[in-house]
Amino acid sequence: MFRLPTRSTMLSWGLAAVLLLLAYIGESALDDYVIRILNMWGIYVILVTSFDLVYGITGQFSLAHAGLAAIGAYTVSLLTLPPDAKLMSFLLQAPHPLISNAQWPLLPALLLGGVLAALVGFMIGAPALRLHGDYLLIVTFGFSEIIRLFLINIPSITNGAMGLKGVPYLSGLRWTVAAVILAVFLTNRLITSSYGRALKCVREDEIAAEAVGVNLYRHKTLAFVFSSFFVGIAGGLFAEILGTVDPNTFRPALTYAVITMAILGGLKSLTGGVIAAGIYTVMSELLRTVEAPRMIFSYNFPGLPGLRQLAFAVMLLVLILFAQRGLMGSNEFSWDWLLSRFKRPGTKKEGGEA
Amino acid sequence: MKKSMSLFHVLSILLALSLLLSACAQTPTTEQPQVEEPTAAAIPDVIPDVIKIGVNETMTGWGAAYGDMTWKGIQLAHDTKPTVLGKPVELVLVDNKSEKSEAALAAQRLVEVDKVVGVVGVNSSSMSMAQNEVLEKAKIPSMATAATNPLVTQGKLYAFRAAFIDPFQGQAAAKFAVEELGAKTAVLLVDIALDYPVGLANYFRSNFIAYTGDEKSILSYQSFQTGDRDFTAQLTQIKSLNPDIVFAPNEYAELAAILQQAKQLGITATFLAGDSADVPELVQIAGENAEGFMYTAQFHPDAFTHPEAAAFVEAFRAKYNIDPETFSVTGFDGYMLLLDAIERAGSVDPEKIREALLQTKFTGARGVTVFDENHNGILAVPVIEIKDGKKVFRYLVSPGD
Amino acid sequence: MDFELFMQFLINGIALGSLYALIAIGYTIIYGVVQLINFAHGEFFMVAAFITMWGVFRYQIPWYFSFAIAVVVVVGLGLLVDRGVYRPLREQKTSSFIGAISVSFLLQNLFVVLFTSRAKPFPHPEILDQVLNYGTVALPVVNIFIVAVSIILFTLLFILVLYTDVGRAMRAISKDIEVAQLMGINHNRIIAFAFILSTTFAAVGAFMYCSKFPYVDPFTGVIPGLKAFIGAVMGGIGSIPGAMVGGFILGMGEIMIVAFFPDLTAFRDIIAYIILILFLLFRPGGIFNVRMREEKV
Repeated sequence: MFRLPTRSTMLSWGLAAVLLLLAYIGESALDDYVIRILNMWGIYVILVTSFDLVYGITGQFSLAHAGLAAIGAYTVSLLTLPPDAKLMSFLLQAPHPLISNAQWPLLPALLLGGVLAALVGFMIGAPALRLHGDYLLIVTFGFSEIIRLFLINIPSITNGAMGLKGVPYLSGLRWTVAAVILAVFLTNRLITSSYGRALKCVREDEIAAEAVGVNLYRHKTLAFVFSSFFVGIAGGLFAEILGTVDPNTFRPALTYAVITMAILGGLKSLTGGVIAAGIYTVMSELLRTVEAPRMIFSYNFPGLPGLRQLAFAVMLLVLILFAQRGLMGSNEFSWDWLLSRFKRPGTKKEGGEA
Repeated sequence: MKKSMSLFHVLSILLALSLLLSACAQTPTTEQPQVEEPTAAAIPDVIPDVIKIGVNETMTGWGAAYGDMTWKGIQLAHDTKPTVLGKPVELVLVDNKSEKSEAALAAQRLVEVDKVVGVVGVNSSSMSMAQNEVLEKAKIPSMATAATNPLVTQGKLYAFRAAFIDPFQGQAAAKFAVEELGAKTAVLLVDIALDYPVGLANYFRSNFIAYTGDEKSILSYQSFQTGDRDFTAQLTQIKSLNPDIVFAPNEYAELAAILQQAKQLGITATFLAGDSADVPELVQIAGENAEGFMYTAQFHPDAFTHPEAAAFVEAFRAKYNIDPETFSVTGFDGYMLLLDAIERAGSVDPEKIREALLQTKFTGARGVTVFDENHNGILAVPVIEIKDGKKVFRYLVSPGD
Repeated sequence: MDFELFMQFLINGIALGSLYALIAIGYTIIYGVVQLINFAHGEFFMVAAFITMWGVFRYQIPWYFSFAIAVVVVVGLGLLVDRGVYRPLREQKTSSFIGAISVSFLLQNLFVVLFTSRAKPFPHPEILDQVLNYGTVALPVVNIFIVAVSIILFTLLFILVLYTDVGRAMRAISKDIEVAQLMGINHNRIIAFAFILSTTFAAVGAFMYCSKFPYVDPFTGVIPGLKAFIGAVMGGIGSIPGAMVGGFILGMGEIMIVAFFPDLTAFRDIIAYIILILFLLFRPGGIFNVRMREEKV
C-alpha cells in the first residue's frame, strides 16, 4: 500500500515549508504596509481559489462570495472581541447573551467561521445547484444580499450598521500563508483527484456524466460546501487584518473583484488565480499614485479619483473579449515544468505566494 | 489503489497543516512586542526637511461629496499655514473609495510609504474606524474630521477628532426641538444600512424622551435602506401619525428626495436632520421643498462671531467663491489643530504630539476647541434653517447646556 | 386603516410599480431574443439620466431637447455594446454575463471619473412638481404622468410585437432561433432592434424616475435596475406581460408592506429576494410560467 512520495510531492512540501518560514521571518522584517498587501493578496488568493473550485467543478459561477465571507468575518470578530469591548460598542442593543461573554482563541473561531460559512453554503447550494446557468447566478446573488441584509437587521448580534470595531489582531502573515497553502493544495487535490476528474467531466458534459453514473448533484454540492468553507476562512482573516467589520464591506462589489481576478488568471487555473490576485492587489496600490493630485511642473494637476476602478473595468472587458483564457488558461504550475525549464538557461520565475 | 493514495496525500497534508496552524496559534503572545518595535521607529527630535501630513478621504464612492468638501477645507488650511516648526508641510491625499478595507490600506500606505507624522480625516465614521485601527498600531496621531460616531476615538490613544460627537448632536437636536420648537411628538425616518443615521437617530430618541418626559413621545421608527428613493409609503404612515417633528438624519441626496415627497404629500411637520445634510446639493435638489427644513451642523458663518471665524469664512469665500460648511470647516480645523499640536510639541515624535493634543486649547473657526477625555472636540452645535433657499442660522446649543 | 389613507398608499404603489414595470420591460425584451441578462441595463438608464441632466445644466438647452439627445446617445450606446461586446460572446453563457458586468462597471466608473459621484439635481418640467389634492389624498402630477406614459408605451409595444413584422420576427426568434433563421429572419438585425427598444425604455424610464426622485449620480441605475430585474424574473423573464406584472407587483408590494406591516419595512428587500429565489426554485417560468427555447447543450 505505502509508496514513497514522488519528487513533486516532496517539492510541494518543501515549498509550503519555505513559504511559511518566509512568512514568519517577513512578519518582523517587512514593514506593515507590505505585510498588509501580502495579507490582502493571500486573502484574495483564497477567495479566487474557492471561486475557481466551484467553476472548475460545476462550470457555473457563484455570486455568493461576499455574503459567505461576511459570515466568516462576523464569526471571527464576535468570538475574538473581548466581552468589555463588545459591551462598549453595542450602542443600539445590548449584545445577545449567546455572544456577549464569548472570547475564543483565533484558531477555533476561524474554523467555526469556516464551518458556519460551509453550513450556509450548503443551505444555498443544495437548492441552487439544481438550477442551470443564469438561474444559479441570480439565486447565489440573492442569498449573498440576504445575508448582508440580515446583518443589518439583527443588531443584538451584529450591532447592525454600526458594525464591530477593535477586533484584536491575533493572526498574521503566517496564518494567511498557512490558509492559502491549505486552500490551494486541497482545491488542487479535489480537482485533480480521480474524484475531481469525475467532477470535471460534469463541467464538460453533464448528460454524459450522469450516464456513466456520476452523481452530479452530490458532487456539485460538495464542491460548493468546500468552497464556502474557504471563503469563510478568508472572511475571518479579512476581519482580522481590518480590525473592524460592517455590513457594507460585504456588498456585491467584493464578489465582482474576485471575478475580475479569476478571469485575469484564467478560470481553469489555480496558478493563474494566485498570480492574478497578486497583480490586482499590487496594481490597485500602484495606480493610487495616478489618482492623487500632484504638481506637474507648475501646473497643479487635480488628480482623477476613480481612475483605478475604471482601469480594472476596462481590463475586465478587454480580457473577456480578446483574452478569455486569462494569463494562464488552464495551465498549471508544475514542478516537472519548472525543473525542465531549470535545465536550460533563461529560467522563468514562478509567482509564488510570498 | 491510486485512489487511496491520493486520499492519503490529502489527509497527510491536512494533518501536517493543522499541526502547523496550531503551532502558530501558541506563539502570538510572546511574539507581539517584537513585531511592534520596528514600526515605532520614527526617530524623535529629528525634524524632517518636509513635514508630511496624510489626508485619507472619501474622494470617490458614495461619500465623494463629503470627501471633496473636506479636502477643500484642508487645502485652505494648508494655504493659511503652510509651515510648521520652520519646515514646509506637504499634504499627501489618498482616496479610500468610501470602502473600509481601502481606508485601512490607504492609512497603512500613509504610514509606511509616505512616512506621515499625522493624518487628517476621514469625514466618515466607519472609514475612520478602519483607519484608526491601523494608525493606533503605528502610533500615528489622527484627526478625524466630520466623523461623529463615538466609537471612532473610543479606547484609542492616538485618535482625536475635530468635531462634536453624535450623543451631543442628538441631544442638541432634541433640545432644540423641544425647547425652541415646542415639539411634543416625533417620528424617526432612518437609513438602517448606514451607521451614521442609525447612531444619531438613537441618541435623538433617548434625548427627546428625556426632554419631553414622555416615554411615548417617539411615535414611530420608519426605516429604509441606502439606495431607496421612494419614501412615499413611510411618509404616508408619518402623515397619518401627524407628529410635530420628523427626525431624518440621512445622506443629503436621500434627504432631498424625502423633503420633496413630504411636501407633495402635504406633511406639515418640521423636518430635522444632522450634519450630513450640510451639503449645497441638498438645496439645489430639493429646491422650494427644502423651505423650513432644519438641521444641526458643525458650522454656520453667523453662529461664531470671533475674528478667527470671520477670517476663515472670508478666506474660504475668496478661494472657492462659496460658503464653508460642516465638512470644509472640520477639514480646516482638523489640519489646524494637528499643526498647532505639532508646533507646541516642538517635535514630530508621536508621543509628544499626543501629549500636546491632550493639552489643546486652540481657537479655530469654531471658537476655542478643547478635547474631552475621549479626544472628542467640545464644540457648540449650530442649528440651521433653510429660508428662501438660504442657510439661516437659527439656534446655538453650547456644550454643557 | 381608513379609505383615504389606503388610497394614498395605492397611488404611491401604482406609481412605483409602473416605474419598475417600465424598466423591467428592458430586461425582458433582451432576454426574449438573446437569452442574455443585460446587467448593464441599469447603466443605460443612468447614462440617459446623466446626459439629460448635463445638457440642461452645462449647455442650457431645453429639457425635451436634451432628453431627445439622451435617447439617441443611449440607443447608440446600446447598439455599440451589442455589436462590440454581446455579439462576439453570444455563444458563451458565462462570458456574456461577465461582459455585461464589465460594461456596467465601465460605465459607472467612467461617469465617476468624468462627473464625480456627487448627486446632481435632475431638470424636469415644472408641471410635474404640481400636486392635486382630494381631501387628504395627494396626487402628484408626476404620478399621473408616469402611469400615462407607461400605458401608452405598453400599448405601443404590444401593437409592435403582435402586429408588425419585426414583432413577429422577435417572437419567432424567442421560440426557436434556428427555425426562425431558416424562415429567412436575420437574427442579428432583430437583436439590434431589440436593443433599440430596450434602451429606449431605459431612457424613458430614467427620465420619469429622475423626475419623481429628482437627482442623478453615477450609481442611480443600480437599485432600480436590480429591483426591476427581480420583477422581471418574478413575472417570467422573457415575457413582456410577465415583466410588466412582475415589476408592478414588486413596486406595489414595497409600498403595501410599509402600509400593512410597518414592522417588516426593514425586511422588505429580504422578502423580495426570498420570493425571487422561491420562484426560481419552484416555478422558474415566473408568474406567467414562460417557457423559453431550450439551450442546445
